[in-house]
Formats: sequence, structure tokens, C-alpha cells
Amino acid sequence: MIDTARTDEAAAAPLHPVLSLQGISKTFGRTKVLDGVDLEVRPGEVHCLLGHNGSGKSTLIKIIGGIHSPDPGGTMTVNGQVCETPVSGRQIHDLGIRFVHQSLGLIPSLTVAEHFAQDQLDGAVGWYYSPARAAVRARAALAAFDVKIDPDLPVEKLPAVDRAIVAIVRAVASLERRPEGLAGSLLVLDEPTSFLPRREVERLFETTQRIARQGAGVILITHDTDEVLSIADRVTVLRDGKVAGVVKRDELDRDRLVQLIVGHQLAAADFQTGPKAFVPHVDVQIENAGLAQRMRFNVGRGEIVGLTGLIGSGYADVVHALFGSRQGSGRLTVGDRTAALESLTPGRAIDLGVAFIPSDRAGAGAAMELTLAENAAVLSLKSLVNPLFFSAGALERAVTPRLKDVSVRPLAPAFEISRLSGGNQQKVVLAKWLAMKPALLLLDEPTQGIDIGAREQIFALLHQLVAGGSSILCASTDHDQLAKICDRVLILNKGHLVAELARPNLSASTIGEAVLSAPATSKPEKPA
Amino acid sequence: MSTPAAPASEAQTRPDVFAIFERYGLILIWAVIAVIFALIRPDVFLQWGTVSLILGSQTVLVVLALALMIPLVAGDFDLSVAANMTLGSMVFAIMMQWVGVSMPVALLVVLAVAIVVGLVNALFIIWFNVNSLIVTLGTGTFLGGVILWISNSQTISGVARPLVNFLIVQRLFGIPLVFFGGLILCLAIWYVLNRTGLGLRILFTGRSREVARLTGINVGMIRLGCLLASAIGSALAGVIYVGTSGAADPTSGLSLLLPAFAAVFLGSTVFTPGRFNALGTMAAVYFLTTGITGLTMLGVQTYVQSLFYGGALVIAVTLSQLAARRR
Repeated sequence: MIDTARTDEAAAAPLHPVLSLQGISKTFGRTKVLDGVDLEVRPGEVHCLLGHNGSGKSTLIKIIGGIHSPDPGGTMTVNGQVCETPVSGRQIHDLGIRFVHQSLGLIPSLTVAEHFAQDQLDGAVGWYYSPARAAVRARAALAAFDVKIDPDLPVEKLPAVDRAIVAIVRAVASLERRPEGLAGSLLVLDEPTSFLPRREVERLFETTQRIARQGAGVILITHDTDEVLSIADRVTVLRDGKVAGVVKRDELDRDRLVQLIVGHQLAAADFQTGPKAFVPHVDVQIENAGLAQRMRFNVGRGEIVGLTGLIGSGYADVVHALFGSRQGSGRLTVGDRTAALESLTPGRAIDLGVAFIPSDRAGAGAAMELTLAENAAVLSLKSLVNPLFFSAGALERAVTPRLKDVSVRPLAPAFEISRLSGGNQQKVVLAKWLAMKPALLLLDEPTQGIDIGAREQIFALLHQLVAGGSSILCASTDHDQLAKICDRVLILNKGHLVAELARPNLSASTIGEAVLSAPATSKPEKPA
Repeated sequence: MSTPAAPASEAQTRPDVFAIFERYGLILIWAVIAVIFALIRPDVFLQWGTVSLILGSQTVLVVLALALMIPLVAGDFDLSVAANMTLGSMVFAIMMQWVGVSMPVALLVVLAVAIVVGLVNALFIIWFNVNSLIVTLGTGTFLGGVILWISNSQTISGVARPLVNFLIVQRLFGIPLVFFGGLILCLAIWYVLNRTGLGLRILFTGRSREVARLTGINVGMIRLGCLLASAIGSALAGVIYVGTSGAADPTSGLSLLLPAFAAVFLGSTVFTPGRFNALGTMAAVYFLTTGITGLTMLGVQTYVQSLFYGGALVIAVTLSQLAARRR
């Protein structure tokens, strides 16, 4: 079947698109998640798929992957060949479609070579496995993309970007074993960059572009408009289940994309209202906290201070130590109360008026199998209901205004939180902590994997909080975000506090420069 | 998922027939099989004696299943409940029969032994962070050895006649009092787990330890409390065993472990589907007992118990998986 398609293709002058979706719709219950979506991916192009959480991106990918069956009416064509939907897993494999999801699908304790070897079996029995030969093959596959990774290392020992590259190259290696090679195959990368520091993303993109140049079509799903600008040949933007627009490389610009994603021009909201008077509020003295070394800094009342650095510089360890969720030594003073970090536990930190939103939303931020109401109420039950007797319904009613305040959509307190988009989950987590009116809010990558619209809403809530006299300390590698919300940004390098940027010298580029140019071996420094 | 302006009312009050069936399905099936048995053998099954037999004979299993359920809500398995129950019954019988102390003293000794067992389990599970399944499989087997040792592998009978008289012979509406004891315990546990802040904290501990920890919940204390409650609850089941049979049998617990598991998991498919709950657990015990009693009355061999309990456990877990996937 594929062979005939290939000869057709040779005859027809313009190449078949690798994938062509026409009029794809999908309805769950009463909601139409996708409404007549067209998508065309040509061989050799990197095609970005952009959109809010909830715009229908993931559903579309699941239809391509055969996990969901589309509503009748649409067609899916792969290399000129019309497929029956839902496509079976076997068929997808044979058609030359491979997926690399955010979670990568690697097993941490197994080696790189073992991952390649398992994939190369292609379902064969494999009577004899030679670790040495597997390592040679894996090294060769990686070398084809100029990647040097030791194939005998277990995946868990690799830096995050190398893990992503292993997952991608492994998928490509399996495509190359097809008779047609990479030409006419389709690689779907579903947010592989979410957990990567910005600089590493470029390495990943280099690999991706090489793959496309060899004739494969690549779909890249991402939230990050900057990433799109740097790699996309074409972009399809989804909004509310419809195609909001298709943009070619030479027409790409940031504002246009943002406008397509959110559906209206974002007010260039800059929350800063000129220089504020510094009122001491929080004083941090750290002797040692994970990778972070001795440092001292303060956060004023109503101030948002950022904390950043390269991965491994220890910036995230600081916020964890200040909440007592990881070992640390030193002192934390909030207002007129001081606690020793050695004996700090989350419970004591909360008593001190400290709140903490961790980066791992699904694992540490919210209990995914529990409801919105339960997640938002657990911390401050007393202020909502009688903690010695309440029903689920009473709790849901009592917590609704609180969820409304942070504009959670859908406003359905009885839903399991896992049903919401990432941005809305984070709003529920925020609602939980805002209820205790924290004196100091600690954030660790607060908007990771969250779409632009929800990000803006979360930023507005943070500013509302500091306007009430609280302080915020935000650890993040997202320089845009830091430049946007922070009054000052502290930069860490190898555990030491090496620089401090304040308004008006605060922008994504000044932060980026400071992070990269920070002296590699610096003495601990006392900031002013 | 992010329907732009889904009004809260629509999302909350959708008339979902499937959800209602899911919530009360077990009760419905229970009613159906009861009607079937009644139609086939109205002469025996429709007798009040049969109903009171079914209700009055299963309190040991109800209490044991509740004891098993509590640490499960907090995310820990306790496979030692069955052995712990037997130990409780044996210690109670030995204290009363061989040592010859009064009943309150015997009960205090049973309580002390249960607390020690719970603390040992907690020491390994929480302090040394060993998988609870492995720890309690080990301690359960260990306790099995202790039981045979202290009892010389004998059944001790004729124990605590006044207690038997009170629990079994005394009746309210023709049902032995022991049934109401189980019911009160079930309601009390349901209240704590489903209607209080403590229950919510236990739920968070079970569903996501890290979230619970970062919310300031003392996860270690919650788990310790649940393991202690489990140990005390299973020892109580042991005392009730002596109080209903008048004897302590060194092998009595083993045959109850699987039924208890079946009841807990089957119970998690009703009332609040997807969550372990005390009322569901109790309902499931009586559902299973009704099925077995009915089949026995129809003349089916005793192996039907194993078929019923084993099958119910697998089907219950499957049903709760399916329910979770649908959500």
C-alpha cells in the first residue's frame, strides 16, 4: 500500500503532505473540543502546533495517535493514503509515525543502549542480546546527529536535554529502518521542551531540524512563542477547537502569534508602578541548602524578588529550604519572627506565614485524584466549614467564592482537579495558599507548562497579593516571566549569589546575560 | 475541558444516570440477588431467622474490613490484620481462661498487645520507609507463629460466656446486638473519614504524600495513627470473634483476610465511587454474605465461598479502575 503511494508521489510534481487532516471534529459528551480542524504537514518542514491549554491541541494529537476516534466526517491522509480512524497502533507504526511525549517514555534505570536495543527489536524475539553491540549501535545512531552521549549510562544519569534527545533520536532511528527511510515519515514532538532550560532547547532544535532536512515532517507542540519563532517553518494555531490561523515562516512575528492564540490583543500589561519604598519584611540567611551556599538577602514588603541561575546553580534549593521541605541550615525572618532552617518543617513554615507553590504541580502541588474543593480547602478548612462536621456539598459551596476569586474555569468544585488544564490547576493551588494570606509566598517555576492567558491571570493575582503587603520570592529559569513580575532578580552561580539586577535594568536579555556571564568560580558575595 | 464559560450549575447537576447507577449499583445488585433467592426458596430465604443470621454472623468480618480500610485510605497496606485479629482473640482467651483475670483486665492486655503490633508495623513502614505490603506480610506471618506458640496450637473454648450472651443471645428487633455494635463502629469511622478535617488530611496523605507534606500535614503522624487504628481495630475483631463463638481458634484469621480485602475494594465502588468508605465496606460485607448464604441454601458446596470472595475482589478492583478511567 505504501509503495503505490510512493510511486504516485514520484509522479505528481508537488509532494504529498506527510499528514493531512481535513475537517476533523471531536465531541466529548456535550462539548465540542475540535470543530472542523484542518492540518497539513509537508515533508521536510517543522510544523508548530500552538494554542492554549484546552484549545484542542492534545485531543488533535490523540486523534493522530489513534487514542481518540474523531467524529464522523473528517479524513486523515498519510502520504496520500486515506486512513480509517481511529488508526490502530500497529498501523501508525507501519505508516512511519512516531510520537515523543513530554514524559519521553524512557525508563530511568535502564541504559541508553538498552533503550535503543529494545526499540530495534521491532517485536522480534531477539535470541541473543549483546550489550557491547547494542552500545556500538546506539553510539552510531546518536553520532549521526552529532550527539555524543555515553550509551552505557543509565538514562537517569543524563541531563534533561540529553534524555529528550535520546528519546527523539531513538524514534528517528526506528523510522530510518523503514525501507523508505526518513522521507515521508512523521515525528510528533509533544512539548519536549517544557522542562528544559532555554539554552539547552537550542541543542534539541538543532537535532530536530536535521531530522526535517532528511525529508521527515515534524510536528512540534509547544507553549513557547519564542521557540516557535526560532524553529517553525509553518505554524498552525488552535483556539477553542478551531484553527485560528496558519502562518508561514516569513510572516511569523510574536505579536501576531499571541493575538492568534488568545484571540485578542493582550494589553501590554506591566504591573510595575514605579519604584517603591523599600520596607524590610523578610530576611534570609542561608548557610547551606542543597547546592546553595552561604548567602544573605532580603525581600521588602510588597516586593517580588526573583531567584535564577543555570540548572544546578541551586536557586530552587533556596525556596525549598525556606519552606522546610528540603534540608538546609540558616535563618529565616518573616516580620518579627525568626526560625532556624535546620528545624523548619512545612507545618512550622506555614505557622510563620510562609506559603509554597512547588514546580511539580501533579506530584507536589495538588492531589490529582481529589476534587477542586478538597484541594483548595485542605489548608484552611476552619475558615470555610466546621472541621468537626461537614459534607462534601457544604465544602463545595463554601469554597466556590474562593475559586471564583482566582477565576478557575470551569467553576466546578466537585470535579477532579486532573480534569482541568494546567493553568486552571495552578489557579486552584494558588487559591489554596491565598486563603492563608501568606506573609511570604515562595514560588518554584509557577507558570511552567501554562498557557499565556492563564499566566497573565496568575501574574495579576500575585500582584494583588503583594499590593496587600505580602512578599514573594520566585525561583524560575523563565527570564521573560522574571522580568515581567519582579522588582529585583538575584542570580546564583554554582550555589553562590553572584549578581543582583533591579529595575529599571530588568529585562529578559539582561537577566539572560547575567546568568550566562556570571563568573564560573566566584567567591561568595554579600549583596547590598 | 476549558469551555470558556461553563456555568457552575450545569457542571455540578448533570443528570447522569450512569453516575447514579455507579453510586448505588452494588445495592441494586444486592436487592436483585436477594429477590432471586427469595423467589427460588421462599421457604427458607424469606424467614426472619435467615435475615438475622446474615446480619448477626458477620460483625467480625465487618470490623476486620474496617480495620484494613483505614490505613488503605492513608495509602498503606496492612496485611497483618488477620493475624493480628487471631492474636487478639487468642490473648483475650488465654488471659481469661488460663491466667484467669477479669474481662476488663483481659481487654486492656489485648489493647496493649495491639498497640505494640501497630507500633512495630509503623516503625518499619514509616521510620525505615520499607514498603508496607512487605512489612505487614512479614509481621503477619511472624504473628501467626506467635499465635501457635502461645496457644500450643490449641483451640480455647468456653470463653467469656457473659460476653457471648450479651453479643449474640440478646437481640434487638430479633437481630443479635453485635450487629448494632458493628454498625455504630462503621458510622463512627465513616464520620471521621468523610465528615471531618482529620478525614480530609488522611485522604490527602493517601492520595499524594508530597502534596500533603507540602500542605503542612504531618504525614508521619497520620500514617502512624492509621496503622495503630488498624491494629486496635483488628484486635477488637478478635475479641468479637471470641464474643460470638465463645472460642479462640489459632487459624481463624487466615480465612478472613481475602474476604476483608474483597469487601473493602468492593465497598469503594459504591456511595463515593473511587474512594474507600466505611458504609460501602459494610454494605459489601453483607452483599457477599447474602450471596454465599443464598447459594449455600440452594445446596451449593462450601467451595462457593472461595469462588465468591476471590471473584468479587478481582471484579471490584476492575470496576473501580473502569470508573476511574471514565472520569
